[in-house]
Amino acid sequence: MPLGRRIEWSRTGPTAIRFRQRKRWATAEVLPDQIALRWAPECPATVRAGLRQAVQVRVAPGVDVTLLEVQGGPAAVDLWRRLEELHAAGRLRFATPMLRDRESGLRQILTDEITVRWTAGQQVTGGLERLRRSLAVSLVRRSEFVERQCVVRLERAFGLATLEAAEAIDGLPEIEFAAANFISWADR
Amino acid sequence: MAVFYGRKRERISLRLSSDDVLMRFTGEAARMTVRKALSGLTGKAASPRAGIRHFGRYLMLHDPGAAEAPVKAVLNALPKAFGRQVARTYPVFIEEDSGLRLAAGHEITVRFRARVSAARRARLLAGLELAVVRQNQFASDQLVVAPTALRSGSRVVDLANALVEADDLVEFAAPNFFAEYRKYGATNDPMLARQWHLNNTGADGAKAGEDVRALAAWDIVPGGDPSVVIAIIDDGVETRHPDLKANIWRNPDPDAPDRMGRDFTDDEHPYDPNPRVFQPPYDDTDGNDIHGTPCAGVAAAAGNNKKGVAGIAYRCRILPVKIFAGPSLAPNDRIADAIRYAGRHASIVSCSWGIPRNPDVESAIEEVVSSGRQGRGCLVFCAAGNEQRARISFPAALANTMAVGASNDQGIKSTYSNWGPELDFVAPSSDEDRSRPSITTTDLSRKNRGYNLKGAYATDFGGTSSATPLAAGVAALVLSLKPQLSWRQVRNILRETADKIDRPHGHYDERGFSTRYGYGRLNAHAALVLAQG
Repeated sequence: MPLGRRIEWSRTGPTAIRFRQRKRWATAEVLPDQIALRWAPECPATVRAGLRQAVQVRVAPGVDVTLLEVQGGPAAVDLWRRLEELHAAGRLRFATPMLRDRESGLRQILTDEITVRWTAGQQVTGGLERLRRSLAVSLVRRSEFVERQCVVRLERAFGLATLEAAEAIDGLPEIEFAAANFISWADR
Repeated sequence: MAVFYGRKRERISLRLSSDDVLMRFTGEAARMTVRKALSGLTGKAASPRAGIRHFGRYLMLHDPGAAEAPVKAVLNALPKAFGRQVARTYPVFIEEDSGLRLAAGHEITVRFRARVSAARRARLLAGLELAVVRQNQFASDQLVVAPTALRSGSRVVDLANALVEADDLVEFAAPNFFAEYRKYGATNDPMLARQWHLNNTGADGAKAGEDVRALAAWDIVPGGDPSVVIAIIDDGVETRHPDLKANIWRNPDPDAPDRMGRDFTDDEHPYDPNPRVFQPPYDDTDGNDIHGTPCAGVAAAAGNNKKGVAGIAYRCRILPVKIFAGPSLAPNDRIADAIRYAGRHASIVSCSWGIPRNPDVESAIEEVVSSGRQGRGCLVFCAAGNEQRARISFPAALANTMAVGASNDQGIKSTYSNWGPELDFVAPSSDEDRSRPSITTTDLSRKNRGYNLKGAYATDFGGTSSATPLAAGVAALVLSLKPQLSWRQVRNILRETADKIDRPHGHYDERGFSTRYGYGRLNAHAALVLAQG
């Protein structure tokens, strides 16, 4: 199965995008100078330290995500190129630009996870196998509370690929909804 | 029979009670003697629910639900020796607005207009066969008068109304009632006086009465019922806090690993919902687990325990459910699962936060609202948001949640509180102007942690974060009284009984709805009165 439509975004400045979740459109702004990444467990410490010297790094506790901030423009393009290399080399689980939700104004971290709920009566195991074959996803966890729901991980999550994959899954007839499992900032 | 008294244009409506009668004794009847004399009567002539209230020379006999005849029968059945001590009997009225009882004796209080001469005053009184009993020592134009001939109580009301009719001479006139008063259910918590959101006395420049009417509500339901559980979905609750620990939910299943809540942020400690992540500055919400503990206290801090503060539902239980650890960041699937978990154990869910719209969270709320409480539905209260904008946050904006905004100590909208068509109601909280009083509630008791780094109570909590658990607590009182109500019925009760505050700027429509206030500010007492039926 193809990943679905491609969502275009700029690596030098903010881009407004639309994406579909639960059969509805959401709008957001892509912020390429704020980057979220998760290191692969096997990534050597020297690689991590090298990146830390190049850009401002913040670790978000509790969610195992590293946040990078870079000057926009050419510096951002360079950083994205570097991250793409690290991702291709298996050093990164994911690297994604930060999104700002248009409706709430809150930022969201796009990860490599997608929440999927099948429609009633569907066999989750079979459905999961089909997704695994067509989209290169793996099971992260079955929902503790909803039998036909789980969280899957996209193996090659770079840029907005998770969003594109979630949208593609959301469009499948046997799926009640699929949505990127964002890590959201909350207003309190 | 409808009766009125008061001022000509501000008449107070009464009805004659057929269930009560007031007796006045010739001497100071000893309490025990009276009780002894009447103990047999209440079991015979009156119903088993009959009651006696005895104060000084007076005794009120109450036989609820009975018609007039049984009361008369009781009077006729008084022992002769005892009956001789009864100097007078008086009818008892019920004030329509408050439901309180008033007995009209033979005296009338009358206030003349200042310019009315003594001769005109005397002529008016003489014409009605009234004599001056005494002059008020503090108001020179005010007198207590009484009929020169013996009158029945209802005739005294008529005479008072006749005085009112002479409104060119009389400012007001009313029978000098023996009035029943309602002792509101204040608790013995030492910081209750600072909790203006529960009972606004007008201290510190606040406007008296601009509160959630907690004390009057506690008169009906003192603190709620321990079977009603309120889930606080946030960054954890200090379960050993001296003013919370008695009310922390305990899992009734002894084999369940979640003894007192869940932590959805930490796979290593999933069953410990206590705050654990702290970083400097330690009083900053974004970075510290300090937000859930004050929210829990507003809803259900233990009351009447001679400690600290009281939550509005001070006998209900708190289910701590942790979704944030340090920063205000949470994966959507964990938030959704936290709501589903809460729906299994709690009747009410309180969410003092807003996030971007998310389908998993939306479906979790649909599930707990449709299937929680054995199908009657969990009540989900969500903060409207503090961004001072015309947009209600998610998930508060959903049709099946209750969006809670904030009003201040003056009874107007807190400047920061978001508004919009999805707003359900407001509840008292802090104001943008920090010189105005904020909310006093529980805080982390651990030293150097929390909004108040030196103590276990915060006096500067607020926002729609505080209004939300207050609303949840009001709903907990309603469910304590009527657990069988559906979530929609409770919502309707809360909406219908909310006070329409700030009418000039609220622009309430014909449904009583305002985009700034929703259906108004929550009134816990009125909600319970309506729920009582």
